[in-house]
Amino acid sequence: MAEKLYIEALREGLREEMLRDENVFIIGEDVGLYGGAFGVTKGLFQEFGENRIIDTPISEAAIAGAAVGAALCGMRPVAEIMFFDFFTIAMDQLVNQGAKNRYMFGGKAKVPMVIRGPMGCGTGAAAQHSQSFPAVFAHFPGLKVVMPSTPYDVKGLIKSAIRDNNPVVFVEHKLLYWTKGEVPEGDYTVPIGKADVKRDGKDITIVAGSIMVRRALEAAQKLEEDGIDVEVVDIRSLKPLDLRTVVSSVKKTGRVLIVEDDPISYGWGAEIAAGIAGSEAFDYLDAPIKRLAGLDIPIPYNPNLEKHAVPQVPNIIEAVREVLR
Amino acid sequence: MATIVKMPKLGTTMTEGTIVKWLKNEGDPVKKGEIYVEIQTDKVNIEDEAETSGVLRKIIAKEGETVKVGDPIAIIAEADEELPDLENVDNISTQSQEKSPQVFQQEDKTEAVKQTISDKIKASPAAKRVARENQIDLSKVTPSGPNGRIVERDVLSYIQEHKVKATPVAKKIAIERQVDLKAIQKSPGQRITKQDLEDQIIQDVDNAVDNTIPVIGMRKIIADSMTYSKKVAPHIYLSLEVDMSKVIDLRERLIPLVQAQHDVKLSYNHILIKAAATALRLNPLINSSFTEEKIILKQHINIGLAVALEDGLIVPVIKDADKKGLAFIAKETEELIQKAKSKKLLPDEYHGGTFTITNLGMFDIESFCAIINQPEAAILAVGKIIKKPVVIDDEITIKPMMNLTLSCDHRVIDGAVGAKFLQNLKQILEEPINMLL
Amino acid sequence: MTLSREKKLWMYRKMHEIRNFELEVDRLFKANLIWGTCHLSVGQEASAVGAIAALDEKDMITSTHRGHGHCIAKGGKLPQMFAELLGKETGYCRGRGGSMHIADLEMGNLGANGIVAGGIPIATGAALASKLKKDGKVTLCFFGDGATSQGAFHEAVNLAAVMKLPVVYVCENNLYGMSVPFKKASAVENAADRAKAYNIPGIIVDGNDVEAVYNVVKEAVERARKGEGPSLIEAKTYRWLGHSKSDPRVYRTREEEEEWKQKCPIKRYRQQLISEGIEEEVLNKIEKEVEDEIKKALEYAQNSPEPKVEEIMEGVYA
Repeated sequence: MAEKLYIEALREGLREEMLRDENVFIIGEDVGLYGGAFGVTKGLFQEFGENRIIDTPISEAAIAGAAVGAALCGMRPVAEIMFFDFFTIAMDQLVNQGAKNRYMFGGKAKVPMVIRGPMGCGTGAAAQHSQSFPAVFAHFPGLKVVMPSTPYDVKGLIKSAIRDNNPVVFVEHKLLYWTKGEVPEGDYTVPIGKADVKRDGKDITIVAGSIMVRRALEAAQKLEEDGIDVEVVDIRSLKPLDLRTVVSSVKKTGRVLIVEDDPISYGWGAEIAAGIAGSEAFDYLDAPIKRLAGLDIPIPYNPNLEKHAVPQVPNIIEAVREVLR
Repeated sequence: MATIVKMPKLGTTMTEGTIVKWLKNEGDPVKKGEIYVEIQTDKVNIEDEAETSGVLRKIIAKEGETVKVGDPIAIIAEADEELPDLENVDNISTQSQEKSPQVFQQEDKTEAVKQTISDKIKASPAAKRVARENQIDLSKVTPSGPNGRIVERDVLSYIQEHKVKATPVAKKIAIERQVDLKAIQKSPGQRITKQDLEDQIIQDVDNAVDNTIPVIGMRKIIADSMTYSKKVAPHIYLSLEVDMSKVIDLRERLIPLVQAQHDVKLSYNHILIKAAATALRLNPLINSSFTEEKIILKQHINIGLAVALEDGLIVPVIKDADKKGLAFIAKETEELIQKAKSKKLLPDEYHGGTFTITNLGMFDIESFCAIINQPEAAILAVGKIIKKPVVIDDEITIKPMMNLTLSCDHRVIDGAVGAKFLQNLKQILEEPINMLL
Repeated sequence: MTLSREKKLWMYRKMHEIRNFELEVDRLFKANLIWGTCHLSVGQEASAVGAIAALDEKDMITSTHRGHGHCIAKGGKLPQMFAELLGKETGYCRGRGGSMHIADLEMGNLGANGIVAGGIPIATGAALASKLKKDGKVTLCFFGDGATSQGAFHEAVNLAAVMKLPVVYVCENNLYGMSVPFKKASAVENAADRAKAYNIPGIIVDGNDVEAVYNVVKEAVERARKGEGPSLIEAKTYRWLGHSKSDPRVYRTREEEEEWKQKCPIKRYRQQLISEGIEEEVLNKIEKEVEDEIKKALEYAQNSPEPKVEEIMEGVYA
């Protein structure tokens, strides 16, 4: 095992899959010589050449559409959308085409593509470059959505996503790229559709995703000093959703706080909350289910306002205390 | 005007940079806009331009050195200018003040819905489940959760406080007869049965004992030894009355002398000890000890005097009472009594007795039968001196009479033997001058 | 169309304002005083100023992520511009928009845009409103070479052409999208060649010649105002600095950059003005005034208050 950056682990996963399967190619804006806007594909153009690392004009609809078409024909494209916000430009191709082709064609087609990009605020990129809305894609039948929070998970999940025969929306986060973690050498996968208990505890369950997993773990460490034992469940996969892991945890602790990056209204946390309330965990709830999420505003530019727009570690700590009252 | 060049921010996420290469040396002239250094950021290498013209007077960050954004890397100035002191360089770190975000939460609009009727008990699902599983009436549980909500720990506490394991029949009887199951003592985990309940009911009727005294220590010893004594020794009781006129008189006369000699007050008990010792010399069988094989006739006459304590009694022993004078007996007795009362008696001082005297006269007891203090063979119970009408020479006269009751272990002492001792004792007390013999 | 001296000096001043503003922003960024990133238009001053000079004050523009120049030319005040970049309450967007979202509807600035080609359908809509209201306004739509690859470009230009809307589409072709050169993003050599697809005039102009830009745009604006529909103008230019602040420019050579720096639009115009008889002192005075203004504007911004966190929810809904 070695300690690697999230972005390195992701790059490694992409590279290993490209070596393993010649049908895998990367397509997107500035992914070639430039190495990707965030540097994810750095070095890959030099290794694999312009036929497998494909630069495109600024055309998200075309990128998504081309990926759908190539996948229908047996390739395994990995499309990069520079900022998650631009997924909106690709919506028709992804949602009305890619998500539905298999079903519409009576199961006689498959669309083994990955479309990936970074969401989230914290870099001052302002309203149109800082959004988080992975839940939107989980809402469309036919798509899978994963949200890795650690270097270990990102490498394992990109491999699983590429090998999966369905369109997978692969949700990264800008602030995660330069975080570190232990990553084993060589080939391994992380299953799509399985949540992961990142920290065992008995007093309260925090269900978190993406960057919020790190913040929840930090909060848990601080709360430990006060004798509060927090269990952190990394939801990891929004579609398929692993409700069972969440329910077991809530049955154990009796209390749950959901922490998410996206705005609170109609966020993925609402799905989890409904899932818990409707499960056998209901009889084990000792406090109402609590959600901590982004404010219902576009992300502001000013750095202080930007910080307040989404949950930070002190907010998580306070929310835990409130649930435990 | 010298310029302290600081590590520039060359990328949105850059926090520190490494000097890859200086394209100029110290002393070289630099023009504004000229590329003069190559810097590596977290992602790429970038060539930076000089922001001012002059001479590169000093290179502060060497090639290969990593420096935080905003920290000084070089000084550009005129060729002959004096260089500024680097200590005064202040580093501009991130503009955004690192104040931890104030906890700012979107108002929970659901709070606006005020609670109307709250006849319903508020309890969390977990609390309800536990209550259900344990047949707990939620209206009896005190809530500790927010907004008056009963939470799981409240129900668990209630259960703990009211923890009772009982068979269904027992429970039924308990309810019918209004018995508090908690009052029935049982080992932990053991179920209360119907029998326990019936015993408890009887017990409740029998004693409304509010207080209890633990049977430990001295109490236990007394309980055990008295029970034992009664069990092994068949007691017979011989009783007579003694005219104490002459003893009273004698005592009156001796009190000041004893006081002067030993600073103690001569009491009836002291005289009794001496008298009994004298009588025992004449009746050695009374001063003995029974064993299965033999009766041991004790050499020494060690008389114990029962002393009442706050929570029991103890019998200090006056050794060789027959060989000691009255005054000395008085002194020793009082010392022992003091020690006894302050619980300072040594084992030696309450072991080895051969005969015991117990006096309840000060409590108005006229006569009583004492239990033999094993391994002795007899015990003398002394009552109160009471003026009574007696018949002497067919005439009624008033005399101060005192009852003596001798308990005898019939294994050793037959009635006549005991009677004889008592008779001797009576004679001695009614003619105290016999104590001189 | 000869320009008045006043107009010429105005254009000269505006180009200086833009150049100084952009360089100051660059300095601030390197000194770690600007949050996020910035897309600077150093080298592209003439296409912004020349085009906007051809508008009436009531006319409208839409801008791009590289839009500081457009905003300043369209009347954007330096203090409020700096304040917005510093995230202050006194900025154009109360610190909530940042560099890419500066707008001033009163001045006819319908906003810079963080989405490539995001402003093109909006410009089409503004022109549609003008046609329906018959208010005689024209909308000038700025976008880059990269935007011509977006579907929104095709849809918006096509619609405007069909409806003969009063809009002028100005493509500032600085030869690169982000890192990908135009020739690798377009099958046609010039963006203006695409005009044929919509049956509208397509005109190429030297984007670094401010008066040339003015002339071409003026014609197109008049066409639009007369109801003859949109035009597509391609101003060939170059951005000196990288795409954004994280761009090490590995995709082009330093020689190419130097070549274009020689063609600096401001230097050229200065020479031109002097050759036309404008006194150097006048030009120097303008430069000095701009320098002072910049200083004052930055000071204003730096002394401005931060937005209040308690007001973070304001402005989402009307």
